[in-house]
Amino acid sequence: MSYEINDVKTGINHGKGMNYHVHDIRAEMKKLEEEGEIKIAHLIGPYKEEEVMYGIKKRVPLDMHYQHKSCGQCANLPGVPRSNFYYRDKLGIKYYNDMQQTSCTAWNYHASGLGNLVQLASVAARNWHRAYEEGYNFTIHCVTSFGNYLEMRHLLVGNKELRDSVKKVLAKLGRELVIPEEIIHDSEIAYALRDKILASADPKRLEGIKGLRAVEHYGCHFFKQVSDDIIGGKRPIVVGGLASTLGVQMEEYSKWFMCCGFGFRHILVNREFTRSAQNIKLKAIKQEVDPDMILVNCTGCGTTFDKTQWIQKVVGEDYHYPVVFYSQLAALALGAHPFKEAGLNFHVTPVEPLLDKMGIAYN
Amino acid sequence: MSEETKNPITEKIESTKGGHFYKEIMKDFRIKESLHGCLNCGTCVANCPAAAFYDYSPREVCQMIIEGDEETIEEYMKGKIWNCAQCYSCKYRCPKENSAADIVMAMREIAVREGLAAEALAGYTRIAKLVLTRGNQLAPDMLSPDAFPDWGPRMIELSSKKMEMREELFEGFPGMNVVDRAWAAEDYTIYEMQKIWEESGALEKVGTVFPFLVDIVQEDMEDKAEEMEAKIQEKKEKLEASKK
Repeated sequence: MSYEINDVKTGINHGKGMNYHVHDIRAEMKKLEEEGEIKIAHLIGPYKEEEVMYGIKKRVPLDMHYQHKSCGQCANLPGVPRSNFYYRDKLGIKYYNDMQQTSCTAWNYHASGLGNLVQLASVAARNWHRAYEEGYNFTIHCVTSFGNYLEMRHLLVGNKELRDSVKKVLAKLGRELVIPEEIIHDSEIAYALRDKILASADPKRLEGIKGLRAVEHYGCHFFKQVSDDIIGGKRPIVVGGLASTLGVQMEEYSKWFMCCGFGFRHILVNREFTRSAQNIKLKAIKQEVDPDMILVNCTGCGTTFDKTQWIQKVVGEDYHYPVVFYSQLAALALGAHPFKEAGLNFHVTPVEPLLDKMGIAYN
Repeated sequence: MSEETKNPITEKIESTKGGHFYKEIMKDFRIKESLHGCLNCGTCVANCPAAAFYDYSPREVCQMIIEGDEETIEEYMKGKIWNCAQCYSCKYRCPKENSAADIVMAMREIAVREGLAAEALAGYTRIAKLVLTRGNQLAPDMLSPDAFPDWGPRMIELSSKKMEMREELFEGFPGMNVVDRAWAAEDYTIYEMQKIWEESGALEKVGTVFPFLVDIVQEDMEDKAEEMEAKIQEKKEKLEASKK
């Protein structure tokens, strides 16, 4: 049982009377469920346990996936949701692409301050309830949504006032507060399925992937906003773990931790900041690794890395690193057409040289 | 509040005299979780991408709330808070587990409410309108090459071919091949979203920056109200029945 770890205490002490205990939020949720305060959407079907911080086990559902989509991906990098559907189709995983879901609205919130916590948490709870009433496990495509839902779960479990306000809003919609047992990002699922993806992969495609050199970049809201419930803990492993299973040679670079420069509002109205941050990241990547591709799991970072390489010419740099999402790599390994099924032709930084190197035809 | 759960840092601040903005910030329950004292060590600044390029410092944010100086707070509220990239690198690295990013988020909310955000949110109208009228935040149509000339020549090519490319990609996936929104969220879903914004008080807040948007949303809701409220009533009855 994942709850056994709950009583582990750290020695962290922030001042008189401030003892912080490391505990698993699932235990708090269980307590609230027993008190009738919340409902928990328990996992449906088989699952695989993976370790998060302090050795706590996160249970990754392996079937019945509600696909909570990313507005940024669907609008801008549509090959990503298509690849997410593709690898599930290939592995025989049942999923539900719901049109009664909304965006999480966290991009808007972090960019503009429009909205408030009750609104943000109610939008989260409405989407969670959709998965619950349809009988699916809630899974998330977008890193902004993932970080937001981890935070909303934390705040809803920890704050009765917020919980009561959200319940009131939900009641006006004929809905109730049902918190998913696990908040899961799609890249965590792909990581948990890595051996299955490898076993089902096209041998010719694997031959092309073998030995490619890549660096990885994780969205800040994947591992910095709420750090204690991510597979691998504070240093994420899911993208590199999946890629190296498929034969990619993962390389380190000194600026791995640094934000890509997306900044939520900056990508819209202050792109000189975005470009400057990218310049630091890309320079380190070029000087230290010069990889075949940059692997990502985040909508905002994928957009920023893909769209901000061309403009670096103004500072005398010539970058051309194809940006590939973990699920696009998985889809390619499983035999997807790079354009018609993995949507790599929607990327602005050319992917053709990478596909040539992999021996994958695209026309 | 038990002795164990008291936060001596924020308790001390709360007891001092503060100005209007400061008091508003301290009402946000996240502040207690986001500030456990500050060593002034600068670890947050060393990790902060905004501090690398702007006159902004997460260390200053924490110190400012500890000091409670209204003048400094006002200066931040009027401009500097919008430089933060909301990357949470400060929270991740802080030895005291502070989160300047969360403090900034509370301050942004207040800046909007207090009518200080009009300049910062200029150019943000299209996103706000999409959120409130379509149920999602981005649309392929918004990514026009003239709005993003720095994204390079391939954007122009993609923009002109996006309809046929999306048709090919999403064949067999209804609701995905749309260009005026990210996916075709149903009218009922959009109505639920609008109702959340209204019931939570968030829509009223939007009015401080984009008053015309509030009119658009309210008119949209009125047009659909009868049909949508009947659906909600059905849902309420179903939920009640399931409880029995």
